[in-house]
Amino acid sequence: MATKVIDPPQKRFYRQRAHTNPIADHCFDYPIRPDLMKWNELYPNYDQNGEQVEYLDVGCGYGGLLVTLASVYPDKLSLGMEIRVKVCDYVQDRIKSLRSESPGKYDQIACIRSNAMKYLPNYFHKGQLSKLFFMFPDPHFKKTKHKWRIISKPLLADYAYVLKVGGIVYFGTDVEELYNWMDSHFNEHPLFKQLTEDEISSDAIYSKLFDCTEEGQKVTRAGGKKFLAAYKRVEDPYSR
Amino acid sequence: MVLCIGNKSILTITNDPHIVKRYYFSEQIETIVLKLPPIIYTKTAGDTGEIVDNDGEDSSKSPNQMNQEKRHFVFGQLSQSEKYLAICDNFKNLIVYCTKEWKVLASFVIERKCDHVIFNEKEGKLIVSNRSGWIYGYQLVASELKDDENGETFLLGHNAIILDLKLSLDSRYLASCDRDEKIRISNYPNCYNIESYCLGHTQFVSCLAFINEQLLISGSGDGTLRVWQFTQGKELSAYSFANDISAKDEKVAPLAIHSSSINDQIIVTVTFYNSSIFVTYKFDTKSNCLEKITSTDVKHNILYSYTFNNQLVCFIDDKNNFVSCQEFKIVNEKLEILKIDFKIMETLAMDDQLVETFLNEKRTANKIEWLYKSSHDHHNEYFERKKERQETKMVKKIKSS
Repeated sequence: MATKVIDPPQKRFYRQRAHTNPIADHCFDYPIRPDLMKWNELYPNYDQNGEQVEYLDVGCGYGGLLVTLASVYPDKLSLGMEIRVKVCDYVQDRIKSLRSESPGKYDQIACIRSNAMKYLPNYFHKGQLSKLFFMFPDPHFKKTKHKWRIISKPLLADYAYVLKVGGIVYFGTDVEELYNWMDSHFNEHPLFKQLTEDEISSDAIYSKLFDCTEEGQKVTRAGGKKFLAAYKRVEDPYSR
Repeated sequence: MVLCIGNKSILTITNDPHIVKRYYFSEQIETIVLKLPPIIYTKTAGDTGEIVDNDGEDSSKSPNQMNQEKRHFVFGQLSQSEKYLAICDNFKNLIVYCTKEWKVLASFVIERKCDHVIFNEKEGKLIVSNRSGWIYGYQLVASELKDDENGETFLLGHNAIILDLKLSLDSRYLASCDRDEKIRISNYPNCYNIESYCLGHTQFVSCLAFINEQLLISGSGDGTLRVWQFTQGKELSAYSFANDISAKDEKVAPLAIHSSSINDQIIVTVTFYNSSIFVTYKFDTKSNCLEKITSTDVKHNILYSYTFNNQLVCFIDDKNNFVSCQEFKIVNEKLEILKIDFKIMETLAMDDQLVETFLNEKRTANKIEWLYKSSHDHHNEYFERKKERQETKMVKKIKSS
């Protein structure tokens, strides 16, 4: 039986202002704990006892990186988290359309609307993730809004908690000040260590990170600067 | 006025002048005029990207404006041994005294008003949580500091207000719970390394108590007490307490959980916000479940409670008799709860101003209605419009074909 191909979504219906207050009480649907997450509603052929979600794109925007992850890592489950309703809906419609167009090729990517600052431990077990992406996060320029930044002193502990030892966190931006902020936070955290040049050159996704995201393409078109780094989750150096 | 309660004595600290009165349970009373170190002016919150709630707190006040304010104390905490007293003033100066000779041991300026202050087991460190949900550690013994350190270490941060903070019995873990239903178990002192999250509550988690080296009990606005194998974040049992306190329409949540072992039995006593009843449970170590033994009504809402030596002391909302003490005993394998009187409490209760200030302070602090989360969905509108758009498109398609 031929399935009907769904038209790709048109961005003009999904535009939404870039900033969201991540602290406020929003209406979110989230599992009380990771065991209760119904992943099979997101991924066709999801096997409860098989592969778990391992790659997470926090603030996935219009889903460019997710789509790339599907082709670079066809046997890994990737999830995009986006806080903006319409943008998340766009990605979900985009994935629907891609799945109908090329059956089987996009079954391992999905997008949910959630607040990564609050709910990561509700979705993921300790050490479940092996890659975590923060591409073009909201710079929240004003000093009073720095608390809304996705990279901050307290939140790094949560990222270290969901990442397995050896897992990698990637972050990129076109704002130098934000890059320095993010880089110094990871640098100071005992559970993260910067990737070496060798590790970066053997990494399959690192070099693709700017070209695959919509924000990255925008920066390229405008001829702007891009800053990118990757850190590895390491064992706790603390000993009693 | 600040009231600090310990196992041996109760301290009151008045503001103008700064006088500490120490009422020992042995009925001796001590009066000390506090020598205060000079005020260190506050840092501005928000500089570090800290989450600041908009309660209009005075982070924007200049030292000049603050100069005109009188110095008063807002918070006090005695250490377990009562050797040390930590007090915090309106200038966010946190001062630690040795209570023997009343010398200043250490003083720090903190970024935000503190909510919970605990001493570590050896009483060499303070753990302080503030209004923003951030927790800092303070080193009290200056000789153990390296030159470039000021004694302050960032430990961890929650994304919501922290409602309780407890150190495990072996001091290896720090448990913190918040308005966002979460209990976080961090390694201590390396708190950046999260050991686990205990997830299961569906409303704010109001209090915590470690029962032994493996188990933690939590109480929540969702109407349950839960028992956790805390290093695994595994829920072992959930107990619904609503029937035990005959909760009316009012919102009732656990105020404090006290665990003690009497004759090899683990006895857990729970007091509640907006309730005059405390409930005593037996903890069954085989099933890991709580079994109710008895509910006791002290007639007036309990505002604050603590235990020592199998005695429960409740401060209650009654001007004329604001302290109620009970002793727990096991007689013939049955738990007995006996009301006892401390002379010192009567002496305390005679000070009208003290009672009034204390009751008012606690009544305000114990307002919990705002902690409940209500869900609201304002996204339906978008999805309705989308549906409409798609339907019109379908109609157009059909028409054109």
